[in-house]
Amino acid sequence: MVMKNFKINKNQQALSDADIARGKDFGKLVKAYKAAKVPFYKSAKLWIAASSVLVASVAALMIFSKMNASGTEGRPFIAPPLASADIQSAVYVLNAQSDSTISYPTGSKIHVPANAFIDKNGKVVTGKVDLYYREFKKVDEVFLAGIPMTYDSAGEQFHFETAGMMEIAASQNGESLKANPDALVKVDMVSANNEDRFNTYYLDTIEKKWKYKVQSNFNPSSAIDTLERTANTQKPVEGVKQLQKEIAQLEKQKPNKPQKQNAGKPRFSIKVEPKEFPEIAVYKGVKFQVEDASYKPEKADITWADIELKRLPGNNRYQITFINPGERYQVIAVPVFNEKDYAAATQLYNEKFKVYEEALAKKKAEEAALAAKFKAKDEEERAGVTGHQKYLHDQQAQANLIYRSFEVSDFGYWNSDHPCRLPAGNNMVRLTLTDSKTGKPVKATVCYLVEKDRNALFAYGATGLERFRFDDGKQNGVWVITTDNRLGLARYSDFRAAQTKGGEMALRLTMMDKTLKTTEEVRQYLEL
Amino acid sequence: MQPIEARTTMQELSGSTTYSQEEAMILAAQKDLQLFSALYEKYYGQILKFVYQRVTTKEDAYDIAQQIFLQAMLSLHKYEIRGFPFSSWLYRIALNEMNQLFRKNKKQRGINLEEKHLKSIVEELGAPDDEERENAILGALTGLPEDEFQLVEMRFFEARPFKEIAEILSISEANAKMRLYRILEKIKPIAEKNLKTGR
Repeated sequence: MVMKNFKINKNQQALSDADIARGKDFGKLVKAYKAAKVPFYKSAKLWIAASSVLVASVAALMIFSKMNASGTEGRPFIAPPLASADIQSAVYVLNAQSDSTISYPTGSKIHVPANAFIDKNGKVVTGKVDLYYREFKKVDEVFLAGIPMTYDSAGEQFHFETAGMMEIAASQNGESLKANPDALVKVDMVSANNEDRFNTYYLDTIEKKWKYKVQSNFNPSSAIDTLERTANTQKPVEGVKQLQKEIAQLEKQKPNKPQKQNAGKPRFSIKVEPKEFPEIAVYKGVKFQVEDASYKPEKADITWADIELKRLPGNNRYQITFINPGERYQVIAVPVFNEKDYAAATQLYNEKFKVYEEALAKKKAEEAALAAKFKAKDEEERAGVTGHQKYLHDQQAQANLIYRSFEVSDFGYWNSDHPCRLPAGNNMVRLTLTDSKTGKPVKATVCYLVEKDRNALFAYGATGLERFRFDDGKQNGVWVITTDNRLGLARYSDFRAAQTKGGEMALRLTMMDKTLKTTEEVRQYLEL
Repeated sequence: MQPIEARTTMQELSGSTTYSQEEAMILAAQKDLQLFSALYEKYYGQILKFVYQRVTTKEDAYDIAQQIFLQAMLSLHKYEIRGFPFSSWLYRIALNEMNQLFRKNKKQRGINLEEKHLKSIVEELGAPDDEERENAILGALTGLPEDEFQLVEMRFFEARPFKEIAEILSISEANAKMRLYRILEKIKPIAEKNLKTGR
């Protein structure tokens, strides 16, 4: 086609940096993207084909996905169904030359030895390194991460049942780093499954397949209380400790109550250093009255070269050491006042004591408030645990949490898995779907059967609904992506209420009209 | 033990493959589109200039550039790292977007010419250089189909190396050279004819 409707501009002024800056607006671009973006339930059709089956479980977390057999060639090997709802990595900045231990919010520990990273030339990396880490244990996390979960063994395809999966990677200045074989990172990943039938696999993203690494990677005696550990790592007690230190310091400054002198006891005057003994220096006319029964009066006739004064624990007592070359003499004494100075000292004491009491009360109140704040935060975290912690909390009631350990010989995805074949429900029906609001039939592109009991997820394509299997002994729910790219769900109560007649089950769906954008939104929605 | 500073941003650098900085940026953006901002920042100026060369106003260039980056964001999940510069992918999107707009007459095609552009073509054709001949060549160029004109435009108006032109057009470097010289052979007699007829 010949060009038409063109205009020739001769020697047009070039764009300046200011011109370029004027047009640049990433915020506007993001807005346009959000407005134009394909909703989650539209993108899902890309990664699930009609016959694919995904099963996931957490107690015995089972994930089944036929990504490669479902005509998904040409798509990225790891394909999160919704980019904005993918599971986020935590990023830790650490010194490559030092040992580090990182606590992940689930309680998992990442042990990074010094010199654990090498660059593309095999040179040990120094300086700051970014370490990326994320875990996938719950069915929706595996779902959102878009990680293939099939395993080929001697030409036979198996599906992974996982006891926990994680991804770890490192970079420096945008360049990805490799694991140093001489100083391997070790990950102790918290797992809710304490069975020993799970082996360790590594996802080779070049060959696009899981590779068997080692047998069971856990120590049965490593049962842990993850919530306790997590809470401990999160207690910011330093502020409280500092206040307690200040309170102890303040208590040492408690003014001594003046005491009248006893005419029958010997006493003497000492000039004290105000900074060292403020509680004495503040008064006028202080004398030290000897309290020792073993006091030797003749020692008072000696001229001493030096004196040491030491505060003794307890009430207002001091140890005084008189020093001459070759001779030391110690007595125990208390500060006292004569009648005249006592009155003035008492008045001053009352004033000082009031100030002291107020300062101490204030400091203690600060300490109590801060401690209460931390306690409340700690309790809030325990009571309102979300995400991983909530999941682990739930699991903890059923199983002992254990550590599964990975020696990270390559950065990437690691899985504690057990290969298995697909299970089947003991009921088979033809499933029909209707919109609960309109009563109109709903055509499904893919339909997920969710078993709450074992947190399992089975996906059926449109043809699969003709032979829809489920176990009526389980708590079943359904998620549906329709042919017109809408998302519908049937909760457990809906599923129980569904009528089955002549081998056909009629299920009423609640259709979602909004676009799900964030991980949390999607996860909330996926909770049936 | 070293204190650990936690950050909230997410970036994926999966597997044991070694990625260039640009590839790491792409992988990161594929996982979190907010991180596309780094690519936007890096390539916006380049793409805007590419568009401005082909339209008549700055405002049109801004609109189209934004449209190109929007398309790039929407398609980023399909992008696969194959060793080619990310910019060549953006240029291809740019050409597609502009072709559609020009075809539908939603934006006017602009040809931004400098004297040296036509001189370099005259020189390439081995013809004596004068203003009349340059005008005759311009007349011949504007009679070319859009895809042929684009090749001339990239080579002579934008002075792009054949390697880059080949990457943008998804053809081999040899093919790019062959196509360009065939186009020059094609316009030569047309320009001579224009010269004689005074067009």
